[in-house]
Amino acid sequence: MLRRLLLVVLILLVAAAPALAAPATEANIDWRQAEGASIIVAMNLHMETDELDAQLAEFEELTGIRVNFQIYPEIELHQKTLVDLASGAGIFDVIMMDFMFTPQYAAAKFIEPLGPYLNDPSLTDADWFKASDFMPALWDAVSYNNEVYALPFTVETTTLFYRPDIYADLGLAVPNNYDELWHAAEAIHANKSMDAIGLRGMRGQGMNVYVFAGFMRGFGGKFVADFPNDMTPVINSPENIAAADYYARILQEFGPRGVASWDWLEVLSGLQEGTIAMAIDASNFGPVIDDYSTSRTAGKWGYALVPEGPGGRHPSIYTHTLAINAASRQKTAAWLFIQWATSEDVQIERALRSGQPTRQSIWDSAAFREAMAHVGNGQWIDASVRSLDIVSADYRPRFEHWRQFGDQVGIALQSVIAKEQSAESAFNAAQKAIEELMRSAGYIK
Amino acid sequence: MTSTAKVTSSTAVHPHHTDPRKSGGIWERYFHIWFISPVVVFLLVLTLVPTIYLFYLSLSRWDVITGTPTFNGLMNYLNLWRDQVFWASLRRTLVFVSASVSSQLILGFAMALLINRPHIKGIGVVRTLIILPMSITPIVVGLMWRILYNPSFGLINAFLGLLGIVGPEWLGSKDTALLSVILVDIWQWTPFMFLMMTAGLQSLPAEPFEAALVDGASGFQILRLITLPLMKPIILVAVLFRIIDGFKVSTFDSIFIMTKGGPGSITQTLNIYAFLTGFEWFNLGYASAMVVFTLVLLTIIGRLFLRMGVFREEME
Repeated sequence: MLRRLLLVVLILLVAAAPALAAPATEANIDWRQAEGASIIVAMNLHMETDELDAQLAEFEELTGIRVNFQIYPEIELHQKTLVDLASGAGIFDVIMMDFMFTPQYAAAKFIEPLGPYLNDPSLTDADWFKASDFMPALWDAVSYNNEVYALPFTVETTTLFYRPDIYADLGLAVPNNYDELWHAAEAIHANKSMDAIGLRGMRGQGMNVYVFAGFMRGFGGKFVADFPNDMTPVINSPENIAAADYYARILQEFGPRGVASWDWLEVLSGLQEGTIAMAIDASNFGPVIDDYSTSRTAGKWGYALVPEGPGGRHPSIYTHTLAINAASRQKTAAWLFIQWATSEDVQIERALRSGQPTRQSIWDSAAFREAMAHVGNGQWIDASVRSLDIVSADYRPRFEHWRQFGDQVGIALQSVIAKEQSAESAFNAAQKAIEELMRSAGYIK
Repeated sequence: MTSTAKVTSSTAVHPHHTDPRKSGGIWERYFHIWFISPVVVFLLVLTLVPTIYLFYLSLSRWDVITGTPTFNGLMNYLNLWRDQVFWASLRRTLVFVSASVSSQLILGFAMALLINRPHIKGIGVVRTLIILPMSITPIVVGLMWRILYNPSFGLINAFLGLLGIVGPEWLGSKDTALLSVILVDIWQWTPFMFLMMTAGLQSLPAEPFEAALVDGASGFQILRLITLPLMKPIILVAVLFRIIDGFKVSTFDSIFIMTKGGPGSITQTLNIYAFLTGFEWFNLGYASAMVVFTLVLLTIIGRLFLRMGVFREEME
């Protein structure tokens, strides 16, 4: 009898194990090996940064390492870190890095390859850290030439935000493809006194291109002929031009005025204020717009996957990562810090509030699902999980000169939205400029 | 004569010492140089070294692939010559600077003339209010105007709406974006012109004006024949300041916040292009060449102003 009871308890414990992540103290490494060290960490002014900031005391107590956060707004962060990295001064030991920088910084040997750290049993308890638990697309996102250069810190993908109340009112179904999206926008525009859809118009590889790439790929378009084997740019392909034309026209006809200069902040406030009925943008807006303390429209949102086109369905991928400066003089302490910050037990504590964990086990855990259930009545977590399942790290192709490439596309797209030129002439001009770039950088002859 | 007097006096004061500049070691002979040398070294390190390094960088390739700067001669400058985006950005910068500086001058001068009377009640408050925009950081100015310009919930279009006018899309439209960013610069820097002109007007001698009044000159004649010629050096200095500042600051900070150079490339000035090239696309060599070009251009403009008589008195 007792034995059976024990067995039941044991089975229950094993079953419950995934939900109970092992705390850092259980890792079989010496957390105090860099005791007394002090590291400087350059962080982005971001919700997740605040959450991590609140956990720092725990790390300092565990390791005896002092952590100094220097928090900057995004653009300033890029400038400060680039100057530090390029000069080799080694002021920052750890930087919070946009994952799209990985190829650039890795090629220039600015950041430390992490393989040696992950594989050294004195630095990492592989069984405790479980690197394979990071979502596969995110692990790809921080890799370059088969080496890992950073650890994924946040995650987001693009989802469709819509208003079920308005849809019900007009008898609309959730759009599954781009024709249906157009139809829904048209119906809302005709019947409601609000703007039907808001999308990013502001130029930039991380701005309008971030959202537009999903439209472009959905329409069957590509950035280069065959990434990464044939890097010939194909920006002025008929599919890309059709996608740009669609993106610009749906905004011109059914979107807000001045949308050509909208960045994500305007989209977010449009959702919070209820001035737009739909948007396709970052999934991590969900917990913000469905929060009664920050949003006027909380409780009114529905979430769905981005529409499908002839080229398939292409939600985006984005992650802020933590990387070690190659010029840092405190690399062991830096590694202990980023390892700890992205470990399961530490992440789940943040994720319950911020909703952007980078580990599959957390997305699967009952605690996290329950914490996020209020966002769109569970639709948000469903749409996010299903999107993250099909994302590719090369949603925007990752190579050394992507930023210049992507910015050129963004400039062309914005000029189409602002009615400066037609999609065809803008994308033809972009193709020419990008061909020049790819030739001078040696990708094509 | 003077030096003899000095020597005599120093001998008089210190009868038992000889003049330190005429005898003793290096320290004593050049002590005045030793005293200022820390400052000179500091200035050299702070200004000359970075400038020389900038010139070197402009002759180097430093991008993603090279990782460190490698000398490549005049390649960057040859590329600049062929780069249409660069020339378009330069043209836009010139349009921006000439439109905003000339408007600032006319408005600032007019305001200074209006207020330049001795006894108006509350004039101090008015002056303080006028110079307020100048004291705001460009970043904040950019953010503020971005909200004001917003076609959906911005104040400007809301006011126009009250008058029954449908306001333009401002920053979001190809037709109004450049005008919008120029207007912000005019708003922020007209106070500077106002201050300079007020100071200038108040320092003018009273006699020529009194004489002109006695001779029965009209207000316009006084302005054209007396005020403007007397004010010329001040106007030139103020305009030169604004041109330099316009190239440096006005064509970057607030524009970057408001439009990032868009829509398309309509507000992309030389500074924005150089920033993108250097810090976003990490092509620091090429960006340095652009900056050197701007530096040379500004030096030439500065020389022209000097010739036009900024320092008239010294030259006479």
